[in-house]
Amino acid sequence: MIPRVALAVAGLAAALLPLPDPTPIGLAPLLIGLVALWRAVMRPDGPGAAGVLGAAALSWLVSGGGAAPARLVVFALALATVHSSAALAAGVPWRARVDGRVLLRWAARTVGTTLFGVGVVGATALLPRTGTPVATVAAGVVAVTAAVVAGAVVALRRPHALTRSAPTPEP
Amino acid sequence: MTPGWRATPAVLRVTALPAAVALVAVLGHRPDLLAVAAPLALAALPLLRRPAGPPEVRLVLPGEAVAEGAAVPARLVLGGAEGAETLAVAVATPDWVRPPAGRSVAAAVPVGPSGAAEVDLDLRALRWGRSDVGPAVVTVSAAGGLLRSGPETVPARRLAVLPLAERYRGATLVPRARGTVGVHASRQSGDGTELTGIRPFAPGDRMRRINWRVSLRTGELHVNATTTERDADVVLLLDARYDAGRSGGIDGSASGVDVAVRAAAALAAFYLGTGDRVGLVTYTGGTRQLPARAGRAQLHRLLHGLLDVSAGRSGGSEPPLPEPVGVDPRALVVVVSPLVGRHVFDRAAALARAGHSVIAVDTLPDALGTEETDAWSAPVLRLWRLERDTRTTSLRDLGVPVVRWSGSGTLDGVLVDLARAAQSGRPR
Repeated sequence: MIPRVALAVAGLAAALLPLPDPTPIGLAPLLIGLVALWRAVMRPDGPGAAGVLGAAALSWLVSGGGAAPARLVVFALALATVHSSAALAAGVPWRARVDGRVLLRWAARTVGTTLFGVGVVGATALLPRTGTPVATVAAGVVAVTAAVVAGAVVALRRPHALTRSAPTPEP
Repeated sequence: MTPGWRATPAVLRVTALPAAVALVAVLGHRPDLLAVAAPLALAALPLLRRPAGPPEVRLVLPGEAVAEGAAVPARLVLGGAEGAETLAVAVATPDWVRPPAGRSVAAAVPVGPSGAAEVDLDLRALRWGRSDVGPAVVTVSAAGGLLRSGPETVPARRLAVLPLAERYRGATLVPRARGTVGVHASRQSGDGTELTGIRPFAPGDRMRRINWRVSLRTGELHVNATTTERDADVVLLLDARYDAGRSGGIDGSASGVDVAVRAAAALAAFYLGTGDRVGLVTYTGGTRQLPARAGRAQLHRLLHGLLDVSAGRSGGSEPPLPEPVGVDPRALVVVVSPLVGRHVFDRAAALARAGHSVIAVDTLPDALGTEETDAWSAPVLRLWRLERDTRTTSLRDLGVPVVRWSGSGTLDGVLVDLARAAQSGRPR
């Protein structure tokens, strides 16, 4: 139950931290995020968690501009926690007794990736500004995205190939 | 269980989603969104360390049989999952081998660097019979939950829970031994040929028992100590055609058949331990007879024979109790029954008239009520009890003692009477 509780708490934080404006365009992502959060808690293996993350990012885009760095870090941590707790909850039965070492590794990985990711992005702010056109940057992002997706696809295919090529002999 | 690995929906959250957010961040001149996307993208890094092979999971039980009330340290063992991170299991325990609380075990444990993990189930055998442990639903996760194997089902395994919760101790008397030279020496010291040791002379010892060599060496009279030879048959007739009361496991209430099965097991273990031959006749829907034999193998046979006893009848005419075949005329017949119905009284009486020493052990629970409570329930129950008492009295008049099962020493009083009656040759 702990992963689901963590998912619910982090999801609520992700929905509320952008401090959405009390306007239809500000509240719509909040509403979508809460519905997705409900689905994610009920079925962590479904698309609910992705919905929570997307809605939270959209809400931050709409309402979170100019937020203090601390709020940004907490928001990033909340999103990372939503992802990791949903990933953990999806493989663990609802009432399972979760070993402390599993929780510790899960928490350390979540906090580690968040701090490292935010730290790297923060470090780029120290670099001197250049006049690169937006189109060039966008093309670069698309290229990087394609590389990431291709890498993930390759990484995911290999275990299947391994399973097929080395079937366990019948007893 | 040898499942393969597959990607989970979480992969989408660490590839496409952060890429889309990063694109929006660049196009919208919002570097703060990059700080949101970066941790999600980094969460894809564990994919670089993939699991080495398909995991294998086994459900390991401590053996094929355990005693009632004993702990059952069952385990789920994972192997061959190098690179995996988490093993999550949910084990159903539908029968009487269960965890202390609840009807299932669910746990998540880390997988070691060698790809091995174990989940201790900590079960307890709460009631005699055959109980399933499982099926177990197993999920193995890797790469931070981005890869998963399962959920796969590990088939249930059946465990025999032997009704050995209580240990019977009592008098080793049997009314009539078979009279032949014993095949099995009893543990009772007395006038026999089986030497058990040498002890100092005591008043009453026979002269021919004196061990002269030891007596001369020690300067005191010593005699050879022997055990008596006795070879008695004890036949347990277990009547489980009807049950009464509710079965609540070893820590809860006991039904009539529960008490009967535990009593039969305790008596069988006791008499086999003294060297006697013990047989078993079980009456459920049908009749099953295990001929009287001695030894540990017979105890194993009897206990496993008791596991299949269950009272399944609730309606229709009363099933008969056929006469057991091949019972030695000198056998002590112990009818273990909740004494529900008419035929059990008739059978006990018929065996007594045939010359057997018969004892009826009453296993009806004390707190017996009715499940249906209407205006007629109480009078009907009272009438039924009166009828039962009348039959019990008739059985006693015939010389068949009826005793309530109360554990160790239950039979001692009536065995003394039966033995005395058998020695004097008078009718019981």
